[in-house]
Amino acid sequence: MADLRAGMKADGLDELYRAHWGRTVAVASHLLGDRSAAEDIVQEAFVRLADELDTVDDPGPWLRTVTYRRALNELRRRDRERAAISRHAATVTDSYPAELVDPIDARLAAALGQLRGNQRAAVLLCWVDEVSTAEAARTIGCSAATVRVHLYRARKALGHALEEEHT
Amino acid sequence: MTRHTADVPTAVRQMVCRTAARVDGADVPPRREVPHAEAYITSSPDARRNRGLAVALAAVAVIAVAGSVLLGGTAGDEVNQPASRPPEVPSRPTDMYDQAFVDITGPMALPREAPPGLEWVFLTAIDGQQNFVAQSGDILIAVCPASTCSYDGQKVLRTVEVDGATFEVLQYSANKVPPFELSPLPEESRRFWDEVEFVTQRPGWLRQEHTPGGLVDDEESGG
Repeated sequence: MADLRAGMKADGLDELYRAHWGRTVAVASHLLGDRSAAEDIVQEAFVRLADELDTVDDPGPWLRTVTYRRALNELRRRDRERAAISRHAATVTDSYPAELVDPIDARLAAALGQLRGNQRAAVLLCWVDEVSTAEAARTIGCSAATVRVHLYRARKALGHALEEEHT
Repeated sequence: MTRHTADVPTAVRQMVCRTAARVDGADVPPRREVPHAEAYITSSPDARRNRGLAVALAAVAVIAVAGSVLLGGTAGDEVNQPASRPPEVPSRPTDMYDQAFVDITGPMALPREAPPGLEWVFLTAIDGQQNFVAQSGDILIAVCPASTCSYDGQKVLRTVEVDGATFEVLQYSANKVPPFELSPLPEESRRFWDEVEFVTQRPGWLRQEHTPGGLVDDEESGG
């Protein structure tokens, strides 16, 4: 019986992995500007999900929340590290996931990368994952009003990038 | 040319869908199949005329990509699942501090007790030397082997000998100000760094809540 349960759990994880891996890594890559760090974070989220699968009601949103929070922690760590070792700032740069970005998206991806971390998170949460501003605010750790400001500014910045692409 | 910022979310969504397809190793729609931005941000007569068709084509492409990414696995489509990807996720250390600590080699001195008002710490290798850095408010302190560090605006607070090696405790600035412009060290901090004992092994206070990022695992309630 225990073997059967373990088998069902493995099947469930496999299915979740296939369903969510690509999209979650894609979102985290755009959030972090770093594919390998994104894969590490998503993998850690899956490891944790494997441990807690029995207690998680809806694994999709759970994975999303854990991934965003870990990615935001990583962004904050990088910001602090840059500030702390400013003389070495040039060596602590993000490796842009160029291999993941279609050439037609290059300008938009670059513009997204120029936004502040919380703005990027708001954009990806609300526009890609299509969560409410209230839920995005809970994930990011700010108010819903702040999320709306992030989205307003991001819309202007990214719209400008798209306009430049065609001038 | 007029900007249609209302369509920016769609463009971002499409971009991430294409990225997801690349992560999964699926075929990525070429540009002609996904008109993308020109359908959304131009307002010339031609563009307006073609816009409806372009948006429809883009929507179909996005649905196809998203569908293959999100549902392909459950439908048993092996195209989206590279053979090299393990079906089960191998375990790896999740304690970021442990990860950083493992990467550090060489002489290192760490305070036996937590500095007052500590917000975060990190361990880093600079010019081949191991450094311990702690931040409390706007105070940055580094501990590194003597005469090896060159932080901006650094000021030596103390020289200590630990396990036969000499280390310096430095206050420095993240903003390249000269030493005399460093934030004055609060009395409590000054006393701490003057008196604290240093060790070369990981002290008990240095646990995960002091990992880079400074936040406790707050995803406990994730989802």
